[in-house]
Amino acid sequence: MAVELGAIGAVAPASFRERTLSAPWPPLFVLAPAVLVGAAMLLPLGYLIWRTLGAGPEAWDLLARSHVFGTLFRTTVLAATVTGATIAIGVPLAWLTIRTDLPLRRLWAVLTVLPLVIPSYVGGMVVVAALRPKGLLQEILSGPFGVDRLPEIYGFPGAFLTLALLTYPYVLLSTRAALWNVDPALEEASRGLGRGAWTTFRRVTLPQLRPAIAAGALLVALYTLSDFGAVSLLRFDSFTRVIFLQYESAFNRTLAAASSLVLVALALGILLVEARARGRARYYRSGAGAARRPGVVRLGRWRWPALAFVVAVVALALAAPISVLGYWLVRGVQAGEPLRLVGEGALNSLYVSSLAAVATVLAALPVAILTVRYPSWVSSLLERVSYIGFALPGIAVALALVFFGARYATPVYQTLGLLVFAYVVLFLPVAVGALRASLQQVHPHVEEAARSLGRSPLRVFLTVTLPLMRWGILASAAGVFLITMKELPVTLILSPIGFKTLATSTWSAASAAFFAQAAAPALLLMLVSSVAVGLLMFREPQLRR
Amino acid sequence: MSEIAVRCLGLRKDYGAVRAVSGLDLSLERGHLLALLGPSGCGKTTALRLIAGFERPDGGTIEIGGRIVAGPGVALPPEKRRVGMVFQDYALFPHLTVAQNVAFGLSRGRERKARLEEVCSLVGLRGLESRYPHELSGGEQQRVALARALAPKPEVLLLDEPFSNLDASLRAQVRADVRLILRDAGTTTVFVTHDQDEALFMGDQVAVMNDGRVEQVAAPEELFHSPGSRFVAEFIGVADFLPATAQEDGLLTEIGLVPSANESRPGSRGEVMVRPDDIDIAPAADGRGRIVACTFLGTHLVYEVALPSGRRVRSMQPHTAAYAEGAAVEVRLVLGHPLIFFPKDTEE
Amino acid sequence: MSYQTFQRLLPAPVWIAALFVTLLALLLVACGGSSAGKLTIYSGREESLVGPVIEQFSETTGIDVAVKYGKNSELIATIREEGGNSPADIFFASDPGALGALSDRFATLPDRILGLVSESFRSRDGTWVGISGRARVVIYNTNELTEADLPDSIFDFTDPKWRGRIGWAPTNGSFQAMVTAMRIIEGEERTRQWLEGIKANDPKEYPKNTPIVQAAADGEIDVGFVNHYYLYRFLAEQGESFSARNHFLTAGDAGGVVLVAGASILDTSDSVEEAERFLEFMLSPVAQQYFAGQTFEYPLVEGARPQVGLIPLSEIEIPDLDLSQLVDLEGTLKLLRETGVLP
Repeated sequence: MAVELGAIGAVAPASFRERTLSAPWPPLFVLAPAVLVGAAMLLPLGYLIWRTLGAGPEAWDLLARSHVFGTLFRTTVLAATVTGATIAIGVPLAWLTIRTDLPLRRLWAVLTVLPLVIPSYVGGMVVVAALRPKGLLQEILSGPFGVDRLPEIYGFPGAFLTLALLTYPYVLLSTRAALWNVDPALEEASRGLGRGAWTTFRRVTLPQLRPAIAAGALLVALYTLSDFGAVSLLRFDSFTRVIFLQYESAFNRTLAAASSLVLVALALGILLVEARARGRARYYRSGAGAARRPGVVRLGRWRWPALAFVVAVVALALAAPISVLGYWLVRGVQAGEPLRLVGEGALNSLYVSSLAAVATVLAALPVAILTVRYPSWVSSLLERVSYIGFALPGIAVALALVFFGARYATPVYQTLGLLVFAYVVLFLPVAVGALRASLQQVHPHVEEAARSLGRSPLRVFLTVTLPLMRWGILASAAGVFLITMKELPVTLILSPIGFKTLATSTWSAASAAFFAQAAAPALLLMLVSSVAVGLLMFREPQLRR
Repeated sequence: MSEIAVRCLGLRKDYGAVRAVSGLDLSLERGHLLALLGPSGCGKTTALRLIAGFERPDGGTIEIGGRIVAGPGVALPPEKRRVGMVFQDYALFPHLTVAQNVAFGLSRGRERKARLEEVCSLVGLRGLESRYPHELSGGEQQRVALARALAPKPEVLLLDEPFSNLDASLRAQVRADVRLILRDAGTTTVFVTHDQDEALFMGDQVAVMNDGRVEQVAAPEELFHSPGSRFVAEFIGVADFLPATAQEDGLLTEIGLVPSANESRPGSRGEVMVRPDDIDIAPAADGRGRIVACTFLGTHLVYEVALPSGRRVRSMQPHTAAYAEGAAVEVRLVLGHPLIFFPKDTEE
Repeated sequence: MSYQTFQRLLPAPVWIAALFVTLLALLLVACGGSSAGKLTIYSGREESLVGPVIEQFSETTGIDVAVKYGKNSELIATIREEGGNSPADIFFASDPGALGALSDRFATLPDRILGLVSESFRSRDGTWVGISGRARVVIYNTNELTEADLPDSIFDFTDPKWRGRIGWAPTNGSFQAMVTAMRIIEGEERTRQWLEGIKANDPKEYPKNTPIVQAAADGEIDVGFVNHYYLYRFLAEQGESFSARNHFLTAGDAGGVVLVAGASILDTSDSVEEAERFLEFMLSPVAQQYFAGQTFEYPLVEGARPQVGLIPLSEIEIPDLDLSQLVDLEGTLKLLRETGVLP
């Protein structure tokens, strides 16, 4: 019933933006936790900076000798190419699954999003298992076709392929949401002015989608920067892999800290470029969505090529990984691979992910309220700070907290507490984003009405705001749950001794090339995350009608 | 005997460099209905929100029911002010039923149910209590908002453009209903609108706002006939202005000598306000006026006439009077009442 | 689900309360669940290799054990970072180099433990004791190569004919120990030249030994620098058809060095008694037989026999090297970074 919420939001024109400009000072129950959360967000980055600067010139010396520019170059190239590829895949897919008479459109609409549940290290493992020399594909091809050498998969090609196929859903989803909101009248106006379907798409629809595409592309770029699993398995020396190797194989951890800082700077740079490119564009997207559904575009003779494209993407990004994993699962079961460990890992994963989801949502609530309801320099600062997790690659947060924890926070060091804290830092933006969106749907008038009826701010929050935000809360918790489940580097580095999750079991088996052992936890991981994705998609209006 | 329910003194509110409300003075007697009328951006909604306590004034004081709720060192939060607010968008709680919405401001206790029923009957919501807001029509939602605000018996009821979300066909009826309900309940009401008809229909008193301050507070008739400023004159009803010079015996204008409603120093120059019903035209070959345009309004016609000086005035004519565009006409004043003179030097 | 159904099923206060209760419960469990075992082991050896025997120790003695697995260097850095707060009682390293690098943090072991292994397999200052022995070998693909094609010395692999055919694991502790040994035997400069020479041959990089062996069998690489015992696990699982074999380097250089995996007790340990029992268990016939029979390593205690088919230690051309000399892991890591082998 998001429609009602949307309708309420829609009544609020630009005027309430102006009016809340001078909103009163926020109540303490919002301000204090929000400031606390903000301070916590700054801890990992602050410690990295402090540690690196504390090492003095030695840090720069180490960095300079570690071929940092080569790494910077490789990482940037990977991020740029993967982002480009995901736009090329995601935008057409969005249009085909929303606006056309593609056969089985709804089925594809769901299936094309599903690669989201595949963690990058599982994707990487599948690519390695299938495409390495003497891998599955070669086994299949060598018989009938006599192929005895496949093109090199390790390094850039494998990393690029894996990441592009795993991350295009980010572009797809954001583009789809925007497509859904495009006012059909604009397209009709263009057609009425004598423009064809293609020209209309290019000159009217596409410009309106641009901010959404950019938002999706930004996610992809940041994902690529901070991905650890796929690049490690495919042995592409991007920053995260290099940092992890430095962490593993240097007594002096200043180098890893300094490299992490360079990576953070790169991520911040991308955010900055995106923000600048976006400029004021973000304000012109209509928020509430058009009342009317845009018409269906008939593909005509393009129907079958379009279908082939969609099928190819789904086959490569979803069917292939599942089949490869299934194959190894069967082989593993036949070889008597013990499934006992999988159960333990699953419980731990569920447990720590729920913990992370609850903690992150609780931390995000005050931040979301403050930034939406009480705009001021304090809240805009906090908002920016809360987005730090966006730019912080997991590995940097993990290292900062290991260093910090070992030295200064021994009581929580090597406990779930520190691990969950790292998740909160990393995933706060996800939760804040969803909560902000749902809070923006609750018109401030509704809260003001409650205030004028004699209720204190805290009671208004508990009896009006919170119940109205529940779907947003659920969505943000599901989002955090999902990504925590898949998260690898932080889990790997910060897990308490002996605490194995599905992610770390998959990883340790996959990195030792024990694919049969990795298949079961990997499949289970994907199964559980698809529930969370299902929840998220339930919120997507275009899929529920 | 009359008791002041709401009083604002020198109220001021800035948004950065923009002064939304600057030196607003208002007072409203208990049981009366005051309409705050003005063009959009004049600060009327801000004034209402200041009274409700959603905004903090940068200067001045607000008094509700004899209690200072905002002023130097005082800032009572909205929940302590005993004000009821009806929002333009109604702001109903979408997760609560009609009954839960209306009872929201009532404290738990035995009277709660009785009051709920009472208010629901008052606004005609009986039978809809278990519905959810989205299951109601616009008019019904409006009544829920009203009932919810009235239920805790507020000191003053604040309505922010309450009819603007209704269809034109529904609006007149709802407006009349609400007026009746408020009269019956004897509620002191401040009501914001940009629609002059609405203000003149609803308000015991109408305060015309411009640029963050009140230009004039008066009963509807007085406002119409004796506007206190040229802004009010222009904003209420249709008005044209003719250059005039004050004389001992009246005001000398292009179309003759007219009686003045207000005192003015002889010899001072200014403008006189004429409304379309003050002007009559008659066909005359040597007439000084020339028909420039005609607007058909159903029961009557309004002709726009150019005078020799180039000034234009409008004249209301029965729909039977047909004049061709360009026709020469004689322009006369229908002297039913004296006219308001605005001397030049007092303007801007 | 619409609002009203949701509302009826779960009124706001109920689910808000539920949320908080859940959180509290989760946090309580989190705090309770994180208590460490009685004996904490930081293991630079892989779980797949030592996990079963550690579990056996726990079952036999009833001592709770928590094991943190990682790379030797990572664990050393962690212990240094943790300083006096380190929860570790035992450091179980895959090679003597790692143990030597941290020897200032170890307690001296009692003679009854040290005496269990011969002098050449323990530290001179009594800070660590060897648990199992392993030889460095070259694994090769039997479809592409025969014993005859392979050189005697590890230095011969810098020849351009090996370009694109070599696999190695620079982050692996045993590999790093071999480099440390090479620095001692051949000197800094020759080692640097060797690393640069191999690097110039565009070797494929692996995270550890197992995938190197797998890759050699798959023909992904022709040769790889590994420890001897990984092969035998594959042979046991996949049979004689597994197309990779070990090649022992006979030139007596660092390429054929015999190393030991060893363990030590941290000087900050507060479970010294349990830690000593752990070392005794690892050197007991049961555990030694495990290493011999299950991981195909060389047992170090008199009486336990290596797996049939394994070349006896006495027949390997072992370079003249005192394992206690392998202390400068930090220097090795620095050299690996300088030559670009490690980032």
